[in-house]
Amino acid sequence: MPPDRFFIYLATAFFCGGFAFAFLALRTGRYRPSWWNLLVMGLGFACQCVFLALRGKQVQQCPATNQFEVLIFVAWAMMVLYFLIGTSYRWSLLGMFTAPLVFLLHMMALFSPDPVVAHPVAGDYWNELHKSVSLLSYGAFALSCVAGVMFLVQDRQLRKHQLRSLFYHLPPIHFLQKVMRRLNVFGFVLLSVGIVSAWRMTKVNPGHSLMPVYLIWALYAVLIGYEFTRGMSARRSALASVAAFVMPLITLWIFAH
Amino acid sequence: MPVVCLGLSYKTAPVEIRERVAFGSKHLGEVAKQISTLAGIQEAVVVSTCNRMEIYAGLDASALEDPAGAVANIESWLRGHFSIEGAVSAETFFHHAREAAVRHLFAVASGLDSMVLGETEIFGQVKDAYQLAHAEGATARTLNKLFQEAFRVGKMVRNNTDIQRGATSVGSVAVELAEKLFGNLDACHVLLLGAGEISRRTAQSLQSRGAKSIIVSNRSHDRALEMAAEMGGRAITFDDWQREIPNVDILISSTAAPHTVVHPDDLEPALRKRRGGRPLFLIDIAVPRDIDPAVAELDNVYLFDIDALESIAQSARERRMRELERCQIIIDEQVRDSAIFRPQHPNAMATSALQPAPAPPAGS
Repeated sequence: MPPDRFFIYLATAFFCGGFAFAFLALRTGRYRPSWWNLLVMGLGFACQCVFLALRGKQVQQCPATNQFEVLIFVAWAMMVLYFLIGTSYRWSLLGMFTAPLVFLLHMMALFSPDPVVAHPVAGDYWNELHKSVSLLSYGAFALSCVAGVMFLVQDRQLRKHQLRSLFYHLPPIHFLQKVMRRLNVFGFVLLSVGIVSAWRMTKVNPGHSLMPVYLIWALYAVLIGYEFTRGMSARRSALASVAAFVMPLITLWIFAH
Repeated sequence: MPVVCLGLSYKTAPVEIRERVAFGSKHLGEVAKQISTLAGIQEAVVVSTCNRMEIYAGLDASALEDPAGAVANIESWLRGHFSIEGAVSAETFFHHAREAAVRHLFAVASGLDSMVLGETEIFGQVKDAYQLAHAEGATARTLNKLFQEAFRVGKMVRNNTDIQRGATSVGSVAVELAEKLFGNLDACHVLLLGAGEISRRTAQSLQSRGAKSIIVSNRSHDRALEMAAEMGGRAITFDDWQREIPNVDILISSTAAPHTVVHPDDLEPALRKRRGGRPLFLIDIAVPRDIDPAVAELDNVYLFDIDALESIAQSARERRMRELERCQIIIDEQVRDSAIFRPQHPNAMATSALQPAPAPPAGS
């Protein structure tokens, strides 16, 4: 097994383990936020970083040259944002909600083709910027989707007046509302930068189409525009954030197929 | 050196006696110092709250064989100090010696012996009592060690069990839910519809947690003015409450109206004007209910009536009772492992000679 792939197997195991542990602890009502949860997520993230570094050296560019790498890059972007946002908001459970989506992306990646071909793009920094920033935006949309799920879970418990163990570990519903909005805007800005940098690329890969990216950009533009101009209830905003992420997820799957 | 504990609590004494046999918090240190000079006693800590007055004493070598004599000295001193000879029966006071005293202190510090099972205020009260005694020089190695262990055990119980999770009264459930909705209450505006006692107390709890402003609206405007003045809030006439909805985050309703007073039609236009899509938390503690249940269908609106709040409080109380057994296991382990009983401790107790102590009674 190539060493870079080994680290992805290892990261997948960490995310799966972290999720399973938190899920079982919540099911039995014994969940305690602890450094162990964070450590497991941190180890998974470290493995992702090692993979990206090794793979970057091999392909001599931003490691997003095939479907496998793209999916791992998005999962990594989610983790970067998780550590940035999760720690500032003290979201002990964000990891528990993030882990399954990261795990899913890893599983999708592991079943994807992974031809490793070096394509040096010396001098074409726009290409590098386009790929990295666009995929980071996917990470922001993914995390917004996670926050949306957390919101909907909490909203349901509050409406039914059934406050289970999970409820006490979730962040305040109004914070989730704000974070969803910020992540959507942040992702949208990154994606816009990604699109502009694609226009400046000197070399375009054969078969490379920006159409899916334009569609995603338009979808989030409508969502954000509607929310800022007409106003949207938090519940609808959460549903929209969850539903909207299906689109990037589909394009990720279609990519390179 | 054995440790003994003598005291009374809400379990053994009615409030008429508890209010007579109590020390002011400022005097706990000097009282502990006085008790530590009694025959057979070398050190002491006095805990005195509205629900209990307890004295923990470390005995000197002369009392090692007869801790009961030292306990009798303390009781006698208390009776003299409070002039309650003949007025308070012997059964009013409970006493524990050695392992049972340690177990009792651990249970008290963990909130297991409190009226509201798992409450955390007692932890701070025990800590203050110890610090005051320590500052007066009324404690020495045994009680220093014992109380440090008690604080560690109290934290351990709280961190490793659900004994303190969930609010257990209607008012505290409302406050907890508000914090879950808004994070912190610094930017929250509260509107009281009606001037009932429970709504006043709930509003005060919200205020103590940082609620930004209180608005009172009541059919009797004089009563609204009175309550608003009491809470440092603002009074409005009953006809004007709907105008405040766009700026209000929490509405507590407790009018005596025989019919509902808040309807979806009252809220829908106002909800559209609300800043940043903030949620609106409605607390209906009136019977008959003030708020039409159909309001709960509105987006961003969370409605809790008195039954919903009471049901959440009841679930929390039941959950705490279920956790009691886990807490007892932790305390049993900690009593067994206590440094107080280790032979190398200069003041170690002869644990082999001790009778197994009964577990403290279940909290109430």
